This record gives sequence, structure tokens and C-alpha cells, in this order.
Amino acid sequence: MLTFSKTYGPELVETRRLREDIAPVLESSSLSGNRINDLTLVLVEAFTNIVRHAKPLPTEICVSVDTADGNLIIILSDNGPRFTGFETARETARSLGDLSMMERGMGLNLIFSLTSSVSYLSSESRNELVVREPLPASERKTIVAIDDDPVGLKLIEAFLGDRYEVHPFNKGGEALDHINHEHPDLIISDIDMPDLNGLELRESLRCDPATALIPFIFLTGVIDEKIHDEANDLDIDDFVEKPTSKGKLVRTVDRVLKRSTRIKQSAAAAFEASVTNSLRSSTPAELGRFHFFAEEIAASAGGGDFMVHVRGDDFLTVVLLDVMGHGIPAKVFAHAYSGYVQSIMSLDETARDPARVLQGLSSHVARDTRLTSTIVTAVAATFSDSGKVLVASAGHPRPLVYLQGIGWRPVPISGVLPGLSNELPETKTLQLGSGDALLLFTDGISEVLCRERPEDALLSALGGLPPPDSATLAKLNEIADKAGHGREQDQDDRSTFLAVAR
Amino acid sequence: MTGHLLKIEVLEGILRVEVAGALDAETAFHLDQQIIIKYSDAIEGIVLDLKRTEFMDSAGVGFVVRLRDHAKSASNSFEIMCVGGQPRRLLEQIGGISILELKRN
Repeated sequence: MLTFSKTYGPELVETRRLREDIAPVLESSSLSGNRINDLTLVLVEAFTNIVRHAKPLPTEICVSVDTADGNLIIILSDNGPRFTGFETARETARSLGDLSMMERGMGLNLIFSLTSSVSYLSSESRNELVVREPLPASERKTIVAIDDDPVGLKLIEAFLGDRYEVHPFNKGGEALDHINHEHPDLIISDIDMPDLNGLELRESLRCDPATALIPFIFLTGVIDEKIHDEANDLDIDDFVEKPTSKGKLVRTVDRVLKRSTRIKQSAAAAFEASVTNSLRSSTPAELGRFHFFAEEIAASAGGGDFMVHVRGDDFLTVVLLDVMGHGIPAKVFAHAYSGYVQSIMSLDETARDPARVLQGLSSHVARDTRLTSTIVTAVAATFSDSGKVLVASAGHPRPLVYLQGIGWRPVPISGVLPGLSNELPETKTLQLGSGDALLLFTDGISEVLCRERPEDALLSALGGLPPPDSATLAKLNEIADKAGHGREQDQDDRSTFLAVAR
Repeated sequence: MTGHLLKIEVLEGILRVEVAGALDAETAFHLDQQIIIKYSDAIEGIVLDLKRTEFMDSAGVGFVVRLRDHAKSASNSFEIMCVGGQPRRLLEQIGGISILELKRN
């Protein structure tokens, strides 16, 4: 059965329709994003070559995608004149990185460089460019097929073996054992079997949360409606009657797998959103003559930055943490750290001393073996209405202080990462007057600014700007905007900063 | 995005070209035509903004190289901004990052 086949007109604008059509087809394979991009480019180059150089133009260009023997087979065919220079072009093709490729014939060079196997076949009525792309075996979806009839089992393997890794079983009990250990991507089972029948197998899987959501299809010749009803009550994904065709079985499996993938993605996104919301930093508004301005830039995957503050009768302490890594794991760890910090700061006498807060965090991290698989940095600052600020750091980028007449400079403070020492970290005391300011931030900002030392990067970005007034905030927002829109794809840390002005 | 949007403007002597969507054979053809009209001796530099470019093929690379050569021959500055995703991968693969002096952001 063809996975995809479509005919296009011989116009350049059709390459866009082709890209749009082919994207979901290639994405449903086990190929990586980069390989999908490469193969799409190869198709566009071949298509463009035909439209620009074939004389006369073909009346149609057809693209098809199929799988065979663990390979993806992409064929671009046309009914125009034969391209006679293909083999010569292959012999003289330059490799990737050879800059002379940019002079001429780059399209053909890309076709040869970006494919592991490409051939050109021509008959009187049709030309075919055939690309074979090996599908990564380990990433192929796995299917457990169960049928006590060896012929039925062989047929499932023959129908699905070129696209999926099929594990056949003729006994329900053995299949159940395998499923419990291996968690395949999909299960296809007959109903009428000795030992453990299909209904019992399904019921057993349904009762175990670890296997209940594995997509399940009954493929059976049982025609008893009562049994059909019973099967449908077992939360199955589909019911296919024997005998079936390859096309019908492949379509059913494809549809069920795609739906399962979508549900998983959607559930993961919902989970991530709920975790992200629960980590929304609590930003203090003001304390006496101190004013607080916070900006948080969550990247696509989001990192593990968070800010916690506690207010006492005459002080306010802020802790800014950066859990290394990104995505859900970083956020889950951030959750754990957040709980520890809030519990440490529940006592006023501890909360008013940033060094003791970080010391408490350090001893929690040292004791909790679950946290050893991640790294966290933290900075804590306690503000008093008098203008006194105590700052302590645990492996965190140095905060910046703005002093009237001096300008911005790093606060000279250092401290080891939480979990490495139980000693009280160093505390730096600052006295901020009117017009002075303090800036705490996480290192996501340095990535945005493409510098190694975040404090240097921020110093350079802020230049001679005064403490958080409209110009400084505009600059910080500009940095935030860069973080949100101009980042590299693989750069998905979060950036947080807190400016405190007096 | 499979369509494209082209923006060509001259601001304070800088010719700014922005391509959203695809920088492919069809886009390159239109850009070549439009830039000839906009380009003049009064230009001091060219900025090619690929921030919103999602796909580039060899014809797109050809356009970038022509634009760079055009700027060089007129002793103008030339900068490419914000290349990511597939276009960046293609430029990396063919060795175009260094010769085009790509900016990080």
C-alpha cells in the first residue's frame, strides 16, 4: 500500500504544495527532524530542476512515498524528456562543505550529498528519481501481534513488517508477559484463543495502569455479536474483522497510532502548562521606598527558574533559583526546590538572613538523593526599609548594583552550589540610597546576549543607563523580547530578572 | 508556513530585505526583480532578515550569494540576520556560514 501519492503541475509554486503535503507523511515516519528537512529539500531540488530545465516541460510530476524492507522509498516521476546528465552529475558531484558547490549545479549536488541511495530510471514514457532512506530500526514503532493461528500471525507480520517492528505470539499468556515488560506501541489480538483468550488478555491489560493506555485492536474472525459487544466494552481502539486486506490493516494501525501520539502529546502539553503555572514566580510589589520590577521569559520548552519571596514585619527576602536543564524534568525539580525554599523561609529569623536561607537549601539538597541528578544555583537578598540589603549567593551569577555617581557594577560575592557545603555562605551588605538599584537575574539572559559571563553581558547591555527607570526597563524588555523571539532553536532555558530600585 | 511574504524597503541608506516563509526558486525570482528596482547608488548597505524564513533551497542560497556579491562590488556592507531552523542547517551543510559571515541573532 502506498503511504502517499500525488500529482503536481510543472510550476515552481507547486513545490510549496509538495512541501505542505509531504511534511505530515515524513513526520509520521521514525526519521529525525533534520533528515525530514534534508529529504524535503532533495524533493524540492529535483522538482525545481525539472521545472527549470526540462524542455519540453512534462505535463505532470508525481511524488509517491512508500516503505519496503525497512526503507522509506520516495519516488519523483515525470512524463517529460529524459535527463541525460544524471550519472555525469553524480560522478562530478562535490561533497557538502565544498564551497565550489555554491558556484553552479548546487541543486544536483544537494540531491547526491543528502541521500544515501538515489537512482534515476528512465523509460519511454516516464522518468523516475528514486530515493531510498533507511528507517532507524530502533525507532520503529513496536507492535505485539497475538493469534493462535500461525497463518493469521504470518499474515499480520507480512502486512505490517515493512513499517513496524512486529513481535508475534501464539499464546496470550506469553504475550501478556512480554507486554508487561516491554510496553509496545500497539497490540493486535485475536479473540478466540486457548490458554488466555483475547477478551481475558484485554481485561488484564486494562486493569494495569502501566498497560491500560497501550492502543489495542481486535483482529478476529469471531462473528458472535454478543462477543463483539463484550469486546467493545473493553476500551479498545478498533475492531477489525477477518479476513482483512493489507491496506485496511495498515490504515487502521496508522490511524490508531497517530491518535495515540496526539493524545500523549496533548496530555504532556497540558501537564507542562499546569506545572508552569504552578511555578509562576511571586513578585513582591514594594517595601517602603524599594520598588520591584520583575520580568520572566519562558522559552518554548521552559526552564526551571523561579522566584520566591517572603515578607516580614520590617524586611523582605527574595530568593531567585535557576534549575539547570529545561522542559518538564527541570520544572518538576523546580517544584521540589520551591517547596524546600518556602519551608525554610517560614521562620522569620531564618528568612531575614539570606545566607541562612541558602545554607538551609544546601543541607536539604545534600540530604535528598533525588535532587543529585540536577544542578541548581540560587541568590538570595534581604531588603530592609532602611535601605540595607544583605545578599548571598550559591553558585549563581553575581547580581549587579547601581550606585549613584558610580554606575552599574557586579556585587563581589561568591558561594558554592547548594548541596556541596553545609557552611554559612558569605553575605555582602549593601546600603542603597535614593536612586540606587540592585538587579538579580538568571543565566538564561547571558545566553540571549551570547556572552559567557552573564554579569558582563548585562553590564554591557545596560551600558551607562541609570537604575530601573523607563530607559533601563525598556532595555530589559528588549532583552526579554530577544529571549522570546530571536533565540536559537536548541536554546530553551528560561530567563528571569528582578530589578529593585530605591 | 508554505507561502511567502517579502518586504523590501530602504531606510536611511540601508536596503532591508525580509523574507517570511520560503526562500526558494520562486521567491528568489521575485526578489531579484524587485531588488533591481529598489537598488540604487544611494544604498550604503544591505540587511537580509531571515528571522521568519522557514525553508531555503539552493535557489535561495544563490539569491543570498548574489545579494552579497552585489553589496561587495558596490563596497556596501552586507549582513544576514536571524537565520535558524532548516535555512541555517542548509547554510551550515554547504559551508555558507563562514563565507556569509552570519550574525548569531
